[in-house]
Amino acid sequence: MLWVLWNYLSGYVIIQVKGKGLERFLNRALESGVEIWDVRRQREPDCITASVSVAGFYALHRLTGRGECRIHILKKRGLPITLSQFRFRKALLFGWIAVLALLLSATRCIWFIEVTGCDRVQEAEVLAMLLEHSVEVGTARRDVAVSRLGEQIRSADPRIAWAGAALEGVVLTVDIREATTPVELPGEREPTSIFAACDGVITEITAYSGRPMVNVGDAVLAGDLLISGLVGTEETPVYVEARGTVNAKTPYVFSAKCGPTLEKLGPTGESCQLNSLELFDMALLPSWPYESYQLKQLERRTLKLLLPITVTSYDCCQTALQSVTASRDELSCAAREAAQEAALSELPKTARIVSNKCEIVFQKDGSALAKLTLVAEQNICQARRITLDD
Amino acid sequence: MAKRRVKLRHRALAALELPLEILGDIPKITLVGDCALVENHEGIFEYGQDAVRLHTNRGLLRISGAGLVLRELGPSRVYVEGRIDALEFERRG
Repeated sequence: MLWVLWNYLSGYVIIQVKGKGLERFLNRALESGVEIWDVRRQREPDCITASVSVAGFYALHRLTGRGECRIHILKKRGLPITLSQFRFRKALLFGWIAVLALLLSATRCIWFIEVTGCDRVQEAEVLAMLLEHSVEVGTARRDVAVSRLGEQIRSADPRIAWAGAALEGVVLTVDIREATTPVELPGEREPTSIFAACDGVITEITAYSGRPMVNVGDAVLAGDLLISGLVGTEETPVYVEARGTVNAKTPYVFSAKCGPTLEKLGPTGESCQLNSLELFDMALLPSWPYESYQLKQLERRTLKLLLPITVTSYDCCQTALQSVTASRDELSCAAREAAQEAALSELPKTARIVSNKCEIVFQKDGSALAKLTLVAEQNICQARRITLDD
Repeated sequence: MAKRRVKLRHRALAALELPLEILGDIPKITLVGDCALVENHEGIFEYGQDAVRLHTNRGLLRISGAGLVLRELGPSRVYVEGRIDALEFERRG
């Protein structure tokens, strides 16, 4: 292996030797100390090929005898030969040097900043803290004191309990651990009861304090008492702050109407032809003349230049919202989507949808009416202070 | 006289239980698969795709086979690669 590597590094030639007395020629080479390898007899009579070092090749010329053998170079191999070819390709050599220089200079900067462990503290806030300490994308690696960075971030925000930074290559990873939020206790506890915020069927009830007034499976209406803050007996009543969770299945109905026409993006008839340039992964796109457009690729060709530049021609068609008569399927889809959007905006975020059913009714005017019936499970607790009336 | 000297050397080596290789002039042939390494040869007598004949102090060493290539050719060693069928000495006289 080392021998092969050495031959490649020092350079060698593959020669063809023709003539009478080839064995004599080989023996003379052996006596002269010229290293020859890969000696092959060719089908052509009195002809062999062999590999020899560049210095050995010149020595062999003196051993050819009185014109008995003739030596021809078939191929030149090795690093010196490859490098010598670059004499005629100055732009390529310059390119390689430029790429290496760019690569070396690029690896001296931070190109990616990753922030992990964010929950209440936003990633943007951590990046802003880093910026205050002159750390951002493009900062030189040697200017970043990684060991101190964690402590600097931690001291900048009381919500951060611990912060650590690690620099791996061009990636700066900042890991933070947020401080736990202390439980906010009310200053003065008031006697309260929990009532139903909306209608539903109870699926789960957990009372931390107070007396539960309903059971799982009970149907309740909005305003019904769920957990009472009145404990004790009638003679000696004790009032407490009722706390707990009561989950119930609550039905919702949403409806949306669409049609008989729908607004769709369509071509206005105006168009123009534009070209874009691509070099490796970089693309130089033209500025599109319309706010809303549709592209159609016409032609793609690679220019035979020093670098592989690809030119792509596009037909850029202007589009605008247009009222079009829609099919029944399109109308029902649009109506269903509108009803679902309305449901998502109105349902509480903590609600879990248990079942849903959507009915589409087509009106006489051609429009579609979607009726979406949802059953959502949610916490329906609503605390209210106990008054004398209660 | 020379023959007697060689015999004497061989006897001495046998008495000392030393390997014959240390004499340095007798051919040593190592065959691994389809590769033959011949050390202490004295030159090439004939080279062809089907046979390689090497001078040694024990006569001509003939390596027969097919597609024989001299992978390495040095002053004291030859490395022959290819399908090797037979190795034989062609004694003088």
